[in-house]
Amino acid sequence: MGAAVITTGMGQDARMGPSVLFVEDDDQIRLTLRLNLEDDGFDVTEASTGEEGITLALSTPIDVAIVDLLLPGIHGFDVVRAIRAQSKIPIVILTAQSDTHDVVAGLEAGADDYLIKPVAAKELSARLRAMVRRNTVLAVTDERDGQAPVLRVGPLVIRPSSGDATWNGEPLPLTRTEFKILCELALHADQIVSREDLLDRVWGYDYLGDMRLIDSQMYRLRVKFEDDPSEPRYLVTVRGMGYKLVP
Amino acid sequence: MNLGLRARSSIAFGLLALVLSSVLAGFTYNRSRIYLLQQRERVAVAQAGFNARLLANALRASPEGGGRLLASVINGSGSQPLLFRNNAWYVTSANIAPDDLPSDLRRSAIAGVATRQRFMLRGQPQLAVAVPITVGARTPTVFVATTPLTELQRTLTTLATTLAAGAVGATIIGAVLGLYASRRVLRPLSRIADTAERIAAGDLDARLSGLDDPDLTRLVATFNAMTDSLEERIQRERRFASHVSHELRSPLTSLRGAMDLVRGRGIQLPERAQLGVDLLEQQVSRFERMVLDLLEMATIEAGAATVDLTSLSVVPLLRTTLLHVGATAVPLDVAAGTAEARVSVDARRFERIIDNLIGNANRHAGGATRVRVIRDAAAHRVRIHIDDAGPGVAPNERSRIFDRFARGAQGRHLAGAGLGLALVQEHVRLMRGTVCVSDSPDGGARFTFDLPEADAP
Repeated sequence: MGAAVITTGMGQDARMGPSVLFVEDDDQIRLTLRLNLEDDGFDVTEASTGEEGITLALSTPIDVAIVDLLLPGIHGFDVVRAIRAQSKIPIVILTAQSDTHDVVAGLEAGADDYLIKPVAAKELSARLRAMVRRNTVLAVTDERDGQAPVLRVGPLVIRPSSGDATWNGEPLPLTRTEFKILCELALHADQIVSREDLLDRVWGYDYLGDMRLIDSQMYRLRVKFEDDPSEPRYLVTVRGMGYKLVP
Repeated sequence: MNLGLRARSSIAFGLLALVLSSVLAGFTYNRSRIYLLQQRERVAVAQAGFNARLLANALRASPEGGGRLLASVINGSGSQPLLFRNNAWYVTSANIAPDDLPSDLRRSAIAGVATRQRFMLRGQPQLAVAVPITVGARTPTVFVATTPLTELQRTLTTLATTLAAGAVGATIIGAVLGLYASRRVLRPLSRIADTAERIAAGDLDARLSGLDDPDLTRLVATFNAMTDSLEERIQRERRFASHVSHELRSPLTSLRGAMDLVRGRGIQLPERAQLGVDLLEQQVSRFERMVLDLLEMATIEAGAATVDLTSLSVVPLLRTTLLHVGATAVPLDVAAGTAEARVSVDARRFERIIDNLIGNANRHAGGATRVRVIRDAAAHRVRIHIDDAGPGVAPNERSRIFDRFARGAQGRHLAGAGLGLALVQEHVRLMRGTVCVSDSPDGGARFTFDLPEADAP
């Protein structure tokens, strides 16, 4: 895959590693994780409050954001929502609560992934890398059938090389994760793609069995193009099997 | 005997119906019997009086024709006439003899008193009516007519049977009514029981509603108030666990991060310092595991555990999980017919189970020797064995080992905070499975847990 990977990270400099925005109020955690991430080649920007985090996320070119949920002032959910409203960058939430409720709420606010404290530095790095590694799927496609760099499924048109998608000719605003999911489904148009496969190919890391990640993304995708998100016409769930993009 | 409310209510209603219907039946029978007998007697007396007058007239005309005249008397329905005249009894048939008449009747009849009496003749009830006749003779003349009461007796028997049947019927209806009434009374109770069951099963939002019976208002209010306070307490405990969790996880994150930093840098330290760092790392890991286990157990005990069951292929799941917990060196045996098996599983809990069981084998038995997965098609379950070649678990410790903070006899299988195996049991239970320990063919212990098979997609 390596050679075919297209890297189009917005804030990614040729010399530096991926840039990370780390919104966390605990100084010690911020320090230890920052040092670890820097050791792993990331360029870390720190924010100790939600407000600061939002400002930095929208003013600085970054590749991925880590947002702690329990922040003084603005809550992590609102930080995620505010960043997501204006930016497509992948967001990873960091929470001290293992409650499913928190995780789901964070994902629904627009996060792409989550980690529960205490987190191993290696795992954090691996997840962030998976998040910023973009469009690998599409690169592989280009290799397979180089003459068709455009994917069409019904009203959906995806141009993997430029990273944009349209729905009935209208530009479809997608986060990177949503874009990856749609590409995966479009590549296998009208075929069932299992959740396991989606997790494996889109998140690129080993998430076997964590359906919350997928379900929240699917919901947000449906809101973007289905007439009735609760009765999807194009992005359908095949009970017990997975998802299917119907032309 | 400990009878239920419904049985007791049913018996009480039945008994009441029995008593009432028996009294009513007895009364009805007696009144009917007296009335019917009186009717019969009146008819018999009237008939006898009429016959006696006819006979008296005939006797006046022909004073010596007693027996012959008697034969001319009109006999109604098996009635037998007798005549006493000139100190002799005349009869018209062999069916009755004067001696068959009750002696009291004969005596008072001869004494000139009109009498009637019931008596038994060869097992048949009879009524005898004696009417003195005055025909100017020196000796008394008496006309006697006997009437069989068999017909009346039959009528009375039928009446008695009907009334008894009615009483039995009323008793049964009473019992059924009692059962029905008590069921109606108990219906709100069973509603309460259902609601309590739902609450016990973890549905804290369940409340009693729809019982608008004014007699139950207080019960409903008390029940719901109790549930409210229960819910509030559980919420408070959850919040507490959540805060503790947050407070403990933050320093752990820093500790862990700091350890990773030292490790990751690959800094060469003096030997003694390195020893200290290694020790520190081990203890940080142990502490982390202990805290996480305690938090997990607290969540489960607070009833706040959420189980995300999904259908997953067990073999890839097991492979990935073994990779996650760093047990790639342990061979995985897949039994025949198991490769495609799917289980209904919470992947995170599954990983905790495998991590704990592998960790347990590492600490006490020199590591797991084998992981085996078998599909039990008949029981719709998938079993997973984790074998080791360690000292094993003595039979008398095999159930105790899953207790919280259990320690083996020689301190073997002394897991982290003593919670590891208890958590394994809880995780397995939450996924509707079972866990047990037995002897491993590899010489040590074999931990086995099973999970329900998921529907094949």
